Amino acid sequence: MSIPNRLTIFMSMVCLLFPMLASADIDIVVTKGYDTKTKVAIVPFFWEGSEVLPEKIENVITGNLLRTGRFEPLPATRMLSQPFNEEGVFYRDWRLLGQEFLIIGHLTPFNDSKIQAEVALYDVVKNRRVVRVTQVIGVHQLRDFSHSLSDLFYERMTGVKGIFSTRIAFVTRKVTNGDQYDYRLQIADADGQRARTVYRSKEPIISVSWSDSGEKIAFANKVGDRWTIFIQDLKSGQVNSISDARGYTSSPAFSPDGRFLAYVSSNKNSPEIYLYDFQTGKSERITRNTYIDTEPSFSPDSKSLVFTSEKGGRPQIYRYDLATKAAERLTFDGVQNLRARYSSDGRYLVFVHQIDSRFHIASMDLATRDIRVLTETNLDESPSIAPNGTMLVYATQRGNRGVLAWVSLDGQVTNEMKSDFGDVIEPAWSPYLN
Amino acid sequence: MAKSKLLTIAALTSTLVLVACGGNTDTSEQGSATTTSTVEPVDTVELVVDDSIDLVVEDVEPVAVIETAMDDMYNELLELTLVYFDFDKSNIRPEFVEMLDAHAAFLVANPSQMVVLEGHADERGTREYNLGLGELRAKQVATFLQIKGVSAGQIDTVSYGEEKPLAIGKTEAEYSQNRRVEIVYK
Repeated sequence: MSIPNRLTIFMSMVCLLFPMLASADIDIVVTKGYDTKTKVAIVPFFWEGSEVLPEKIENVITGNLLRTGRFEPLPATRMLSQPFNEEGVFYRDWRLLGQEFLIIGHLTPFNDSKIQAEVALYDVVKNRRVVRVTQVIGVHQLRDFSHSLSDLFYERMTGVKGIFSTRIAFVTRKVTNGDQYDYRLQIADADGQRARTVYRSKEPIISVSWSDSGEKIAFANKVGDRWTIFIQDLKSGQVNSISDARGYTSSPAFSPDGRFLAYVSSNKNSPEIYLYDFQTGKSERITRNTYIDTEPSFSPDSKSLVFTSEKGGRPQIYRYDLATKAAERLTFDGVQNLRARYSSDGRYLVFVHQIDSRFHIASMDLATRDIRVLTETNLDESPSIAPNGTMLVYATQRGNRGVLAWVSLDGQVTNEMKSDFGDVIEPAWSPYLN
Repeated sequence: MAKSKLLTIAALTSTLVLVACGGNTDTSEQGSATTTSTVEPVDTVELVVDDSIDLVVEDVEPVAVIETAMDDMYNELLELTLVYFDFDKSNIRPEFVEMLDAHAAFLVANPSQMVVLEGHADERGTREYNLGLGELRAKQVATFLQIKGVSAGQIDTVSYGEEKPLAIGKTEAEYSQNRRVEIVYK
């Protein structure tokens, strides 16, 4: 197969060194949740130091558990006692309040203005301590520590690995003056806090994609009259790019094994899917027709990819097998189905699903091919699944404003995230980091 | 109806002028072949000697009069720079053919003039799909212009997808304005 695609890959020494530019301060509001929730009492932690700490660990943990929609924390005002060590824990008191779990914490000043933290989780129903953590941390690590504790406790209470230490990348768009825009690619904690700008442009930024290691992020940015794919190393700040002499390049997606970057180029006329091989430095064209083929995304085993094609008349989702080079149509219900992403276990797809004139997020069980609509909002797009498969983040609109929203894969939980930095679009949930 | 007839002549004229100035071998051979069958051999010799000069003068003169008469309309059509599309479609609707003919004629007559065709989509559907749709729309217009004789080297296309709407709103009235190709001369 000849590859006349004039692909230009060049190393740019422009190091975008994580400028700590103004970032989006974001609030998440839980709008809907599970019917039966796990009841957990998170007692305000006892701090023996004199100065006020910048973060309250118990508040961060409470917020994290609340946003999953699976927990109902007990308000501190309803607690009969507020123990900070094991001697103060009386299981009966907590059972009386209908609690299933209890979290307590004790913080003491340590050398070099550090903090010694002792935090524990108790199973009130089974009358036993589940886990205890004793750790010395810096004041600046309070938030990271809170997320790690949330992950640990969530896993011990549900049996599912937590995603509170992961990140979410997204693009914000703000009108500056008149018709000028300020686009920013930002990376925030999974709770939307501590957003920092990693790339800025006056032209649109779309299609944010993480590498499986979480070390690289790829996205498309319009540069002059060309859309260019940028691959940014988050540690070194080094940037590579892919662009063509004609048409656009966009929709990058890393293969989980790290070997390929799938992307779209319209260099040869209609938008087609290509595979860039990081080992050989060459691109191979995968689709070949006069229709739009776009939005490639790999399966977790890197052996196949799903993509959107309008070759059947309207955009539908197809699966391409890298070994057999055969494509199979996966979606038949709904006017249109677009931009599919796999769950990390490979059992589900989530995608944009048009019913009548509305665009929702839906999931499909790949074994049964059953489609389930997950959202009630309209103009929903860019679904991205958390690495533990329990929820996904997507972009939708409130009024004429772009916001992010969360929904669980069983369609029960909806959280919403607004930004004071204009529209928030194109979210991408990171893989597990570290 | 009268409008479109005049326009066809304008487009044709420009094409002829271009052929006469630019290449000429095909046209002159054809011209002399026709002439041989009806006119005296002596005339043929003269025509061959003068070749393209005669062709240009004879053809352009009568049409040039018509061209001045319709200058205004031609310019009016050139001022129309927006081509609109149906939802999820990239085919050119019949009502835009006349205006695109005028742009084609202008570009043929001005071969050093560059044009950028900017394709757009409304906000429904995904950003990437709309980027593709904007691209197909721009390329559809590019193909139309090339069929009418515009050189591929004069045309560039760029898709904005759904990123640069003309009208903000959620009804068909706004959406229909946003599904467009903008003709931008550079």
